[in-house]
Amino acid sequence: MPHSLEGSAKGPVSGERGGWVGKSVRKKDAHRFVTGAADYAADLIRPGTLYVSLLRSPHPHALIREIDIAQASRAPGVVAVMTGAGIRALTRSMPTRVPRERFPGPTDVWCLAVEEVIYVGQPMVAVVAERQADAEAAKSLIRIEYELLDPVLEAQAGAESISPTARREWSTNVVFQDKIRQGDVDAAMSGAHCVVSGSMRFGSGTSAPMECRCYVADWNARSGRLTLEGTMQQPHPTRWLLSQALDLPETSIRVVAPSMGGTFGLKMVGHPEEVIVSVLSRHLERPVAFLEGRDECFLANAREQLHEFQIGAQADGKIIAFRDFVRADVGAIGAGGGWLMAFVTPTVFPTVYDIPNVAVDSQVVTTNKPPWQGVRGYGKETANVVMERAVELISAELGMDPLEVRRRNLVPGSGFPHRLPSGLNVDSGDYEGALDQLGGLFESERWMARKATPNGGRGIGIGYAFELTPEGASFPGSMPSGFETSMVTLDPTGTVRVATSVTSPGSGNETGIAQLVADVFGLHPDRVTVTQGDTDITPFGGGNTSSRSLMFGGVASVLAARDLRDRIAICAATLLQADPGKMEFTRGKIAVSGEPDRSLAFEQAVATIYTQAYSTAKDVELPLQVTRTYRSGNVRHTPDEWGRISSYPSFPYAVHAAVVEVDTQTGCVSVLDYAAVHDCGVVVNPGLVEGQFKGAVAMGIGAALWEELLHDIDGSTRTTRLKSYVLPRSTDLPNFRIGHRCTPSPFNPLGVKGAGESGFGGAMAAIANAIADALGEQGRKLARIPCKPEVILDLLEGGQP
Amino acid sequence: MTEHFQITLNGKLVETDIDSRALLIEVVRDCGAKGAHIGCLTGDCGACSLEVDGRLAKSCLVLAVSAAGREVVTIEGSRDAIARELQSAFVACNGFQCGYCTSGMIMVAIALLRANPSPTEAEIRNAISGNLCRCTGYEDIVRAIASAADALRGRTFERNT
Ligand code: FES
Ligand code: FES
Repeated sequence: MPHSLEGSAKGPVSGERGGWVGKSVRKKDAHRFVTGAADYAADLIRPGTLYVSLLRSPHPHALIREIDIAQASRAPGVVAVMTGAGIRALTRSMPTRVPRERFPGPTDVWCLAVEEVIYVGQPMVAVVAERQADAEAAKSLIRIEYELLDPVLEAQAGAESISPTARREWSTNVVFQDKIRQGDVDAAMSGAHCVVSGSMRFGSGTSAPMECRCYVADWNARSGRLTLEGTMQQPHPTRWLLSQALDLPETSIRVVAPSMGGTFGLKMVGHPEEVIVSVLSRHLERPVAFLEGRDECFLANAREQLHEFQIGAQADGKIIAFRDFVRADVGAIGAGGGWLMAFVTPTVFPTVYDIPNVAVDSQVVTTNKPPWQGVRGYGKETANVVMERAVELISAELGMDPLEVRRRNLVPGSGFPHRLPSGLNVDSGDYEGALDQLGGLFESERWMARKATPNGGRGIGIGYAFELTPEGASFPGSMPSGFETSMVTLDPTGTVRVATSVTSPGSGNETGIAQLVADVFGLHPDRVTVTQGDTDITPFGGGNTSSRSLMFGGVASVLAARDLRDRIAICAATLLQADPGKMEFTRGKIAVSGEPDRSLAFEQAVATIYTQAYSTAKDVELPLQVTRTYRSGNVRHTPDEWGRISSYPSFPYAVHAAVVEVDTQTGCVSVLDYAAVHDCGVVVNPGLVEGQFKGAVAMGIGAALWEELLHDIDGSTRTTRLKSYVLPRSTDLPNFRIGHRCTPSPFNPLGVKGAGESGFGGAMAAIANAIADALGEQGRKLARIPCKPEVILDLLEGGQP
Repeated sequence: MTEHFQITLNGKLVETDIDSRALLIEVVRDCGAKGAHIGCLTGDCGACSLEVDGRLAKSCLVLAVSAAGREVVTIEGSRDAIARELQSAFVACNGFQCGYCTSGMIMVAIALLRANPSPTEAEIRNAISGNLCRCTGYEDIVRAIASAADALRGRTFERNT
C-alpha cells in the first residue's frame, strides 16, 4: 500500500522516497554478535570488582526480629555484610514509578527488607566478597530470627475484608478496581438469542530472557560520581531512581546499558539490586557487581489472573453484549511497574470486535507472592485469549462457523478511529482484509480433511484467533509519561550521529532508526551511527518499553534529521545557486530537483557549513545538531465525557491460525502448523519485524502450553530452573508462515505502529482454541492456561480443570 | 582453595590460579573468552557451549580443574571455513536477535556440520535442541544452519569438479 512518509508532519519529503525504509537491512554490528565480540553487562566486570550475593527471605510474610551477621562477616573473602538497617542509614526508600498517592497504603520500598518481609525471595542481607563463591558461601552463616505473620497467598481470599493483609500497614489488599461501561449489558444479555458464560484462569508466567540481570556499580570517590552499567532497558528512569534512593543529583550519576541478551520486560526500572550495588559501591569505594542466578530470575512473577466472562449474541451471529470480571494476583508491590499490567488487561476489551454493550470489572489484589515484573504481552494477552475463547463459545452455541461469527463482528475498515469502551482510541486497521489474507496462507481445507479422516484425525484441532495489542504505553504520572527524544548531529566529514532515548533489547531498532535517518539525508545507513543506553550521551526518555522504539524514538530522530536537512539545503542552494526548496537528497548527493547534473556531494555542503560560517553558510542556523521529542497525537490524559483517558496510541493487530495434535493418552500437545497475518502499519525493516513477530509467536506457544511459575503453599517459587519452567525448544515448534498487511497509523508521522510484542497474545489464544477444538465437546470447558498435560487429561476425564 | 591451572584456550597456552570450585565456563570467561555466555549454570540452555579437545561440551557442567591441560576452543577461536560460513549465514538469515544464545548455537552447529555436512531440518532441530533461544523461535537459526551447510557443500562440489 503506498503511503507518504510525510504523514501529518510538516516539511519536504524529497529524498525519503525509494530509500532504505522498507528494506531488510542487516542488523548493525551484526558480525560482533556472531563472533562473540558483543559486550553484554557481565562481560564488562573488571578485575578487582567485588561481588554481592543476596540472602533472600524464606518466608512470605514475617517481621524481622534479629539478624546476626557476625560470623558471616568473618568468613573468608567477605568484605562487607549489609542488612536492611544498615541500608536504611545509607539510602532513602526507592521511588515507585507510579505516584504513591495511588496506593491504599504506604509504599516505602527499601532495596533490602527493613522490619517486614513480604515475599519469599525478597532481598534481606547483602554479602559482599572478593569472589562470587565466597559471598554465596557466607550466606549460610547468617542467623535471622523472625516473627511469622499470616501470609496472603491467594487473591480471591485476599480480596475479602476479613483477610489478613499482605503488608502490615495496609488496611486492604485491593490495590485498584476499575469499572468500564459501554451501553447496557444487562438489558442486552436478557434480550440476546443466546448467552454463554465461561471462565479462564491464567497461571503465573515470566519473561526468562537468556541473559539474566546483571548490574555493575562503580563509585569514583575522587569525582564523586557513580557509574552503573548493566541490564537496564530504561537507563534514564534508573538514573532518576538512583538519584532519589542515593540522594545524589542526577549529574553525579551515569547509567550505561550495553548490549542486552533479551529482556521482554524483565529489565525495566525498579529492581532492588540496581540500588544495592550502587549504595555498596559508594560505601565501600570499590566496584560492586550483582550477577543474577537463573533461580533468582524466576522470582520475576506475572500474569496470574482469573476471568469470569459472559457473551450474548443474536441468532444471526451478531454479538451484542460482553461482560468480564478479572481478578489479578499481582504479588507484593515493588518499586517497579510490572503490576501495571493488571490495569491494562481490562482496557483492551472487546479487542477487534464491535460490540455495543460491554462491562468490564477488574480487581487488582496484592499478595505475598513475588512482585510482578514486566513481561511481553503486558496484560493484553490475557484479554485477547478471553475474548477469543468467548467468541468460540458463542459460535458453538449458535451452531455457526466461528470464522463467520468473527467476520460479522469485526470493526469494519471504515470504522476507524474506533473508541474502545475503556477510552482507548484504535488508530486504524483492516481486520477483515487480514482474515482474507490468512485464508491464502493457511491451508484450512487440508487440515479439515485430515481432521475428518477416521484415524489420522484423532486429536487434531484447528484454532483461530485475532489479537489487538495496544502499544506505546504513556501513563499519566509515570516516570516518564510516554515521550521519546533523539538528538541528531552532523559531524564535519558528513557522518551522522543519532543519540536517542530509546534503547535496544536486542531487537535491532538501532538499525531501523539508522534506515529512517539515512533516508532523510539520502545516505547509506552505514553512514549513520546510533547511540543508545548512556545517560551521559543520550537525551532523556523512557527507553525500551511497549514497542515504542520506532513509533517514538524513530519519529523523534526523523523530525530532528529533517530540521538538519533544511539547514543543509540552505547552504547547498547557495552553492548550487538554486532555490532551497528544490534541493533533493539522494545517494549521497544534493541535487536541484529535476536537474540531476546540478548537484554536489552531501559532505561538501556539510564541510562548507563548518568552514564558511561567516560567508557562504551565514544563513544556516548552527549547530548542526538538533534535538527533537516526539509526543503522540493519539494519547489523551484528560478524561473524555465518560471519564476515561487513553494511554496507548498505537494498535497493531494480527490474526492467527494454529493446528495442534493432542495425544489423548498423555495430554501432550504438539503444534503441527502455524500461520498468521500481522499489521503494524508502515514497516521500516521487514526482516527484523518478522523476526520479532515469530519470536513472539514462539513465546505465546510456550505460554499457552508449558510455561508456568509454580508457587508452593509457603509462597516459595518451585520452578527455579529451566528444567521445571519449560521454554519451547527447537524441536517443539513448527515453522511459521507470516503475512503482512499495512494500514498506516494516521496519528503517527511515519505511519508506524508498535512491533515486537504482538504475536504473543494471538498465539496463546490460537493454541487454546485449537486445543479446545481438538477436544470437541469437552474442549468447551477449557478454563485453564497453560494447557499442560494434566489440564487436558482432567478435561478428558470430565473433571473440573 | 586456589589451584594452579593450565589450559590451551583458543590456541594459546593459559596459566592461572583458579578457585577449585570454579566451573570451566567461569574460568574461560575470566581468561577473556567472553563470547561464551552463562544462561543457567545447570546445563539447560547451551549458552556456554564450547569445545574441549575437539568435543562439544556445556562448560557449566565441567569443573574447571577437570579440564586442566586440555585444549578449549570458544567462538572466538572458531575460525575455520565451517565457522565462517555459519557466522555469515547467521547474519544473512537473521539467525539471532539479542545474540546471547548465538555463540552457543554456532558452536553446536559447527560440531553438527563437521559430523554431518548435509543435515535435514529435523537433524538440525535435534542438534540444537539442547540450546535455548528466547528471541527467534528457532526458525531463522535452523535456516541459517541449513544455508551454511548448502554453501559449504557448494564449495566442496566446486573444489571436486
Ligand atoms: S550456562 Fe551452561 S547450559 Fe546454561
Ligand atoms: S537471539 Fe536472543 S536468545 Fe537467541
